[in-house]
This record gives sequence, C-alpha cells and structure tokens, in this order.
Amino acid sequence: MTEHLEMRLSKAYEDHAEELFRFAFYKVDTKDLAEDLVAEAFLQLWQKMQHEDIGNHRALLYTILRGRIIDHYRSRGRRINLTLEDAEDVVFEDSTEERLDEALDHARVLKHVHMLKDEYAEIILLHYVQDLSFSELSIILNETENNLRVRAHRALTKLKKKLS
Amino acid sequence: MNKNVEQKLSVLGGRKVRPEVLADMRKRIFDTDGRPLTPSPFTTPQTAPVRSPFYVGGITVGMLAIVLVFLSSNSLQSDYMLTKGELALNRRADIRSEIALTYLDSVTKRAQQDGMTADEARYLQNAIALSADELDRLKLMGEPGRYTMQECKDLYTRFDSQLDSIKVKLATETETPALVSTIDRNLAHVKERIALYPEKAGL
Repeated sequence: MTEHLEMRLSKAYEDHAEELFRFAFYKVDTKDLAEDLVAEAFLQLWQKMQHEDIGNHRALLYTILRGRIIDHYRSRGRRINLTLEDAEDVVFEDSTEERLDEALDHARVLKHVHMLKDEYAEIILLHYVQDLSFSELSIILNETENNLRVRAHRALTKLKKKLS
Repeated sequence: MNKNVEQKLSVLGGRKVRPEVLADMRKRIFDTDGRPLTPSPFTTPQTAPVRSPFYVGGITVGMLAIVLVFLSSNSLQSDYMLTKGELALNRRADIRSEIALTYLDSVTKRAQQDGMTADEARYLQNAIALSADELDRLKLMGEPGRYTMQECKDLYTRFDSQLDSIKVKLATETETPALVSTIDRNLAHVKERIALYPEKAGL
C-alpha cells in the first residue's frame, strides 16, 4: 500500500514539479525559495495521501503551494525584486542570445503582471501562464467558474493597458 | 494586442526548467532510495508546542525571563534578559539568529551613544558571542520549510556588516582590546562562512 502511494507521489512529482516550480518562481522570484516552497507542497501532499484518497493531485498541489506562498508573504513580507532576467541562466534552459532576448521581453511582461492587483496577477499566472482550466481554478480558488472567467478577462485587459 | 500578450504569457508557461533545478528539488522531497522524506513534526506551528518538551521548557524559561526584566533596574541587563527569554521561546535557528542580531544592534547603538563604558563593552562582547553562537546553528544550505540558503547567507552578511561597523566605531576607543579581539575572531569566521557560498551554493 505504501509503495503504491510512493509511486503515486513520484508520478505526481514527474508530472507537476516543473510547472509548480515555475509558478512559485514567478511568484517569489527566488530560485531557492521557490524550490523550498514546492518541496513543502509535495511533502504536505504526501502527508495527505496517507490519510485520504486524493483525486486531483494537480489542483491540490496548487492549493497547498498557493497557501505556502501567502504564508511566506505574511511572515517575511513581500520582497519581490523583479530581477527575473538575472536568474534566467540558473533556472531555465535555452539561454542562447536569441532566446535570452525573448526571455527579457517576457520578463518585462511578468513585471507588469506583478504590478496588477493580487487577484488579477494571480489569475493571469494561473490561467494564462500555467494553463490551468477554469474548472481547476474553481477548485483551487474556491470560486465559481463564471466569476473567474470575468476576472481573467478584466485582468488581461488591465495588463494590456499597462503594456501599451 | 490581447492575443500577443496571451502568446507571451503562454510562452512564459512553457519555459523548460533546468533538470538540475528539478533534481535539486527532488532531493528535498525523496531520499536516495526514492522514498518520500518524513516532514519535520515542527513544520506546522500548531504541533510544535505540544510535541516538543524543549518548547514547553522554553516557555517556562521565557516567562521567567520576562518577570525578571520587570524586576531588573539595569536596562542593559533587561535587554539581555528579554533577549534570552525570546530565544528560549524560539527553536528555529533562523529566528534565533535574527533575535540575536537585533539584540546586537541595540547594544551597539547604546554603546555608541556617548562613549563606551566598561559595562557596555562587556555587554557588547557578550552580544557578539551570542550572535556567533546562534549563527553557528544555521545550516549553510538552509532547512526546508524554515529558511533558504539565500536567507542563511543574508544573516551571515548582516552579522559581517554589523561587526565591520562596530570595528570602525571602535577605532576611537582605546580600552577595548578584548572586544577588538572578539570582533576580529568572529569577523574571520563569518567571512569564511560567506566565502563558502559561491562554491557550495552557487550564490
């Protein structure tokens, strides 16, 4: 039974670790902290798996990770330096010159995302960047899909205004 | 334009994370046999006071120290007792280090106000030793769920700059050879620790 659970956790790691790390990194802008938070999310998932049957690992991992990030902001203050480009080399692959230019452009977009209100920034990251569906977001954020669709549209419009 | 922004956001979501980052993170979750690590029982604050006898003992010592503060008329001693009380209430190395460094900062400021008395020099020397002890408990690579490598390095750097600043201020004092020697010894030690980071932690 335990082996089966271990395999499920390992599979969940293979399937979701990369996207969760990317989400955490875009939120906290520090590689080590992002690694810590994602590791904590998986360890908390492991604890839960031993007591209950988890249907949607992805949604639960995002829920836990999101909570951890909020806890971190509360305890240490929000210290986003928005120097994403500095970390490119150590975090992401494809750091050729051409890709780096593209990355810098995307980092600029991300900086503007962080300048939005939290609720808008979050939905941009979760839906447009991380590609979570509205039904998954509904579980993670505990809101109706309809509300989330409206918010996503507003968030994108605001981001577009900031970028223009 | 909206479409263009959407595309850029989508590309951000598709970026490949370096395998070494994922491997490093995996080590924080699974042991070498691929089994999930057991999370620390103290990770969640709710469980810590109940499960740790150290913590319960710490509360008693902390309360006692706070009572002693009220009985004490010497403010240097009050600060020291208060700090010891706070330390007794916390078992996390990073929080304890922050408490010790804040105490060092306050003792330093007081000593610099209008010339350093022998008593102030003694307390400053103790505060440096206390900070050094607490920082020695930190793990260079951080502790999952508590503090990161970067936060650990930040604490060492803070101690380093505090010592540097005290040393500069002490240049005008002549009666503090023991203090200068404590500072020099700790400065060398903390600089050694900071120097480990570029090799060990890639910072």
